[in-house]
Amino acid sequence: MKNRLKVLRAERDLSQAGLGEKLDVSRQTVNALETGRYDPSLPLAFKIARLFGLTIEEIFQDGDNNEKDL
Amino acid sequence: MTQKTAYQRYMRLFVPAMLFYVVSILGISLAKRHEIFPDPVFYGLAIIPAIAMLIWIWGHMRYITELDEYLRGLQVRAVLIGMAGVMAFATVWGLMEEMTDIVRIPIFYVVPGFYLIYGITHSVLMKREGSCS
Repeated sequence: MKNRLKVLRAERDLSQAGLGEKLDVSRQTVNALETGRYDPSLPLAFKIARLFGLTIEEIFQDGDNNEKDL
Repeated sequence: MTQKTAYQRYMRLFVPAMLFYVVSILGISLAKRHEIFPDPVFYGLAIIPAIAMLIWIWGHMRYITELDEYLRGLQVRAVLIGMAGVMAFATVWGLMEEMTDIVRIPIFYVVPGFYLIYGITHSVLMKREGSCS
């Protein structure tokens, strides 16, 4: 799953540790999210979306576009 | 709770429990060497280090639940790899002890063996995280 976390963080001039503090997660977790090595749980995804004032879909994009299959 | 606070809470329990574990094992070994107690007493004394170990494992479980979801996953992976390593070694070595004249390793070494593999695995996983920024 791709995401815009790094861009959104940079726009707000936040460090990984700073963003982690706001989300109550570690710097390593922010790093893993930004590099796409870890997909967040739904509660964490909502937390991230609320923090940036965006929807989950505006931050995270599924690699496979399955919308046409639904 | 922050990750740092969780780690500090864990270490506050782990360090004294580990020290108690080491001291109790050394004490029991010395007592046995000098035949201070009759043999049946050692059945009871052998439980003491296990209690210390159960205390720090409880602390470890609490620590894992207090971590964020990603670090929790890394911890679980490290614990599973530690368990897998020890169980695989115990299986192979145990069978060799039964079938050959290979040197016998006391079962007591399961705990340090597990923590050795777990510690190395966790360090590698965390180092990889640190170098990926």
